[in-house]
Amino acid sequence: MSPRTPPRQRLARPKSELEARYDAIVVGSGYGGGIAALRLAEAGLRVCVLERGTELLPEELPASLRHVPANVQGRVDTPGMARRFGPRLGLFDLRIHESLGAVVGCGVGGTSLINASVFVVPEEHVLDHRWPARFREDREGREAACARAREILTPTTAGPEVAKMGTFRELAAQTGVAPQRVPLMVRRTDDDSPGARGAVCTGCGNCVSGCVVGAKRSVDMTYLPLAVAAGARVFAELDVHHVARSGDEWSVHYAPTCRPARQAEHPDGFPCVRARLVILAGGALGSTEILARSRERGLAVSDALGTSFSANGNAIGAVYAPRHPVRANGTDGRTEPEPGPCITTAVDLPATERRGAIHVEDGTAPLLLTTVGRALGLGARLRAQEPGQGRWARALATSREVLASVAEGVVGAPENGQLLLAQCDDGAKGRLELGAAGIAIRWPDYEVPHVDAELRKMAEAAGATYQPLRTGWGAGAVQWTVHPLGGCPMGESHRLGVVNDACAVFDPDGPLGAVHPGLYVCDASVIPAAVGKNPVGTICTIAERAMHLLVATERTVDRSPAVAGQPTERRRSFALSEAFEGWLSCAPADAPNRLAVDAFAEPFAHHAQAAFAIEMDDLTTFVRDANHSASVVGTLTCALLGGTCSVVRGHVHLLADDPVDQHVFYNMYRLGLASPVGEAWTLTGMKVWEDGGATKLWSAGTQMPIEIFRGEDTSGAPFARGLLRMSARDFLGSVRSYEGRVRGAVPIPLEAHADFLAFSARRLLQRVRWPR
Amino acid sequence: MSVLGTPFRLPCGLTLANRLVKSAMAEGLATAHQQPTPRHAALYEAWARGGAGLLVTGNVMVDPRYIGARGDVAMHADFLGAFRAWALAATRHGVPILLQLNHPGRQTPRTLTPQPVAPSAVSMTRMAGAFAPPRALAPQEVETIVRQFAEAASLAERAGFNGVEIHAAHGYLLSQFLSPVSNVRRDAWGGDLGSRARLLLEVVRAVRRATHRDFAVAVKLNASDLQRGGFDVASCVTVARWLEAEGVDLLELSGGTYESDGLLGGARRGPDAYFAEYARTLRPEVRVPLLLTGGQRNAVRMAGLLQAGTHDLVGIARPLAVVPDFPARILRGEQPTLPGPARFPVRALASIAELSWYTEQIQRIARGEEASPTYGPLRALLRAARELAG
Repeated sequence: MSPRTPPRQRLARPKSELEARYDAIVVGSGYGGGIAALRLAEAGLRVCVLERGTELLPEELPASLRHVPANVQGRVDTPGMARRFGPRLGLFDLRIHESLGAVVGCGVGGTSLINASVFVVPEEHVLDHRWPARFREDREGREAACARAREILTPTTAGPEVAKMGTFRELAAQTGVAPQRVPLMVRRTDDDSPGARGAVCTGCGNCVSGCVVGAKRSVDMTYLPLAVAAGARVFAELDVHHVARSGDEWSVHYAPTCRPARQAEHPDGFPCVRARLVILAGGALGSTEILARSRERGLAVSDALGTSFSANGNAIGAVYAPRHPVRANGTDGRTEPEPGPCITTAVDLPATERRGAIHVEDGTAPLLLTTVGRALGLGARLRAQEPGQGRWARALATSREVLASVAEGVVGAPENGQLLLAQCDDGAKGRLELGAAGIAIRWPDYEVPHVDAELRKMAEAAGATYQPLRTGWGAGAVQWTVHPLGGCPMGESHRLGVVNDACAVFDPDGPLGAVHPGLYVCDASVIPAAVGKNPVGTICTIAERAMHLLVATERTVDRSPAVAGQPTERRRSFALSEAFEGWLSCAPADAPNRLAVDAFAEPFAHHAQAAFAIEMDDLTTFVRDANHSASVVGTLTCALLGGTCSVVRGHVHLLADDPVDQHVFYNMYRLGLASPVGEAWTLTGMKVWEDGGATKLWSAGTQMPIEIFRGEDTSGAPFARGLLRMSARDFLGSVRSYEGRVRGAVPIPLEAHADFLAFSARRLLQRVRWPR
Repeated sequence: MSVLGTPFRLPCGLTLANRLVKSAMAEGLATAHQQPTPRHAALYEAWARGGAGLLVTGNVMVDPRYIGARGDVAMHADFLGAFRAWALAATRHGVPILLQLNHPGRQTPRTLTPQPVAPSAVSMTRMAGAFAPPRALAPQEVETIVRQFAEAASLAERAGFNGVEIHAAHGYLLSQFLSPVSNVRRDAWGGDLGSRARLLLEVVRAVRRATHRDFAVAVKLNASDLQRGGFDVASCVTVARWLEAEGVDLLELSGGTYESDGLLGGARRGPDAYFAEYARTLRPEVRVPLLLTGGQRNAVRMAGLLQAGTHDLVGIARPLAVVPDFPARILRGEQPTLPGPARFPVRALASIAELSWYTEQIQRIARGEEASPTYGPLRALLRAARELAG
């Protein structure tokens, strides 16, 4: 691969820095979220970005087959099945629904991590009656917004010619329309053009599996580093569940993206962060899901929520030209010639009497997909096997069928194939609904037959065959979209839309046109109709315009490149969850029997329970560091403190040395607590591991006396004391939640598990006094 | 934000997330041995999710021999596990829960107690057929009752309740002691107001002694018995001052007894807040937090009354029997419609039918069912008769 510039710095902060309150919270870190974070941070607000996915540096993006299992997650919600699969932090998030599936990105940078980086702005006529008048008519505002986005993302058509452009021209020749180079947010030439930073594209063609070179100007390379430089805080791996109004603020309720020690018994016990300003930017599926869950909990949202869902008329297929070898598959940059970026050229087929306009682009199947295809073998071979009897055999046959379709559709002829991506106006007639596996697309008859016909015509005129990409077969075939749009459409009022032209969420209980103060949706979900071209330009225009209307302040931040940083090794981290139950009391320390730390003591008044998610952000540092500090998020619920308090600025030292007594280790928790009534508390707790037998270690490990102080000062007398205990069941749940992670790779991160287990076993065994 | 959504801290340290309190209503769910059931936990779980800042349980008897109605729970060390589950149903959601402690005295139906006990052998004047004539308690029996309250409070604390509310209203035993009509004793427990209030104050003192400082002790007191010659608002002010001196955390104001109309709806003058004017009288006299229950349905008027400063907390009971998340919806600024029972045509029985209708709705929530507004008043009345007859 080509020489790399130093990798960019990590953007995400450890969760122990999470505060109770910010000026603005941005949910999601794709284009909408990145723009909101930068513009609000520039305006001087304290901004917090919450992202459900993990942070992947370019070199941590998946590059080979063994990285696939850790990077694919998804949800199936079809008639008769509703479940999630794969690791929650997987980069590729597949949503499989009846007749239509969607692919979205999950990670710091959102879908920009796995898109083809095409920045086009659709023609004016696309903004038809479905768009609010104020947005349509504000041409100046839109153009200024778009220019601001271009300034950061620097799309360009410059760059060397690649072989597949010629093939595409050949294909497009019969249409009578000249193909155009598309503007790409990729640094393709090594010049000093403005905004040129980062590595130069090697042309490996793997844009849509993540740019490992670092040449793609994805959000994590552009908006987010600038936002961080302007003071925004990014927190990864926190999955926002719903938002709720609390006083004159919004509370954003989230769950850490790790396995819970205890299955949630009461779904309202989420920790939360608060702000007066909340920008939802989780994408069409994410933002709609958050608003739908918030509506279930009493937030007044327009009935238009979930409507106007569009697949942007996506039709994906492959062209095989057996006589003309096409270099249109991703390469590893060593053995094969470089095909060039995923999408380079497009042709706009004008509208006819029988159909609307179609935008057709060339495409490159990334190495990951072709490798998967090769590894699976040819579709024909898969189909040749007799399906057996019984449920599992049928399921196996089905999965073989699905894989065979992928293999045939995409990689059937790896040397001679060329992907095509067509987009058009599909009418935006889909619906998003909250199902058993989260938000689900309901569009059982999604079809764009005229597009497939047009693509086939193009292929056949060039002497090639065309295969539309479907998974499944017959009535169960699923078409795929990479552009899910809508769900929270913008409209004139709450009767027609969920947000107004400035992306503020309508309050249907107020007078016509009233909005919830401080609640915005700013991403692909507000697009009320298909745009018929790659939607990044439209998303950025909407988001930049909305943020401009919101803050309308001068930009003051230095635009110096924020990409250079310390090279880091592939980071290993470790996460675990803990559940405790116990009690709290504000009785004085000398009150009779109240503070007896005794496993068999009666539970006393003021029941308390806690759920903590502990994360060792960097396992290597954690093991080396004498304090063994890890971050904590979660909740402590006690009536004495006014309900469910969220952990903020949570630290724990795990199995740390006592500076004085060498026979003692301790786990020391120091957590800020933000109570639901707006008070601040600090919890300190210590588990002490003294030398002793195994039973002593057990009681030391499962019991923790705690003290609660008012505010952040822990020097005075505590407000309350108590005891948190872990039952045997919760201990097992905690062990089950152990999760080692190696960023962006390795299906089973055994080394991370081994590191942590070796560390804790070594430490604990030091404390056991063995019988002689 | 509305004042209803602001937090409030009781003197003992307990924090209420908002000003809406679920007041006591009889659940009628206990077993034949007066034991709490899983339905109690289910019911209070529903109410804990409903957004109230504090829950007060239905009355729990301190002596299993004397219960106010079939289906009333009684406190007993053997039932600690069931009480624990009940308390946990609320506290696991971070919602504090107080256990209401009661002794019915002479207000116990003939079918349950052939010979009730009372301060003096004074029979009930209304519905006399339903209640047997009581006998006067011996002085040492009164001391036993003080001990029973204290033991029950201690058990409640061990079970995980955040506090107790001592029921000294509505004509039950402590209220009977307070009223010169029902208490004609001439010993240390009767006579002037100080002697009549002695039992209540001794109970409060004993409960305080038996529990920890952060355990809430509330008292429910009649602002007036609404009965000629009974406990009146002037006595209420005096008793409230004494209770404040005993370190009571919360004083709930109510009114009426089984002998007066007030308890069962006769005090409904004006649009809402049956006892608001009594709170106005009491407020300048005491600093103890005041909880005003009865007739408050409208969010705007609730907030208005609270803002006026006559009381600190708003008690809501019957709306919660039909809309379990009534507080949450009030706090969100909604005004939920409240289905109510159709009125039974015979005036003397109408209030009993109404009470029974609400009990039926509560039991529906406990079973996880929806409220049934169409439940007829005659059915409700027959249900009440069945309860009474056993």
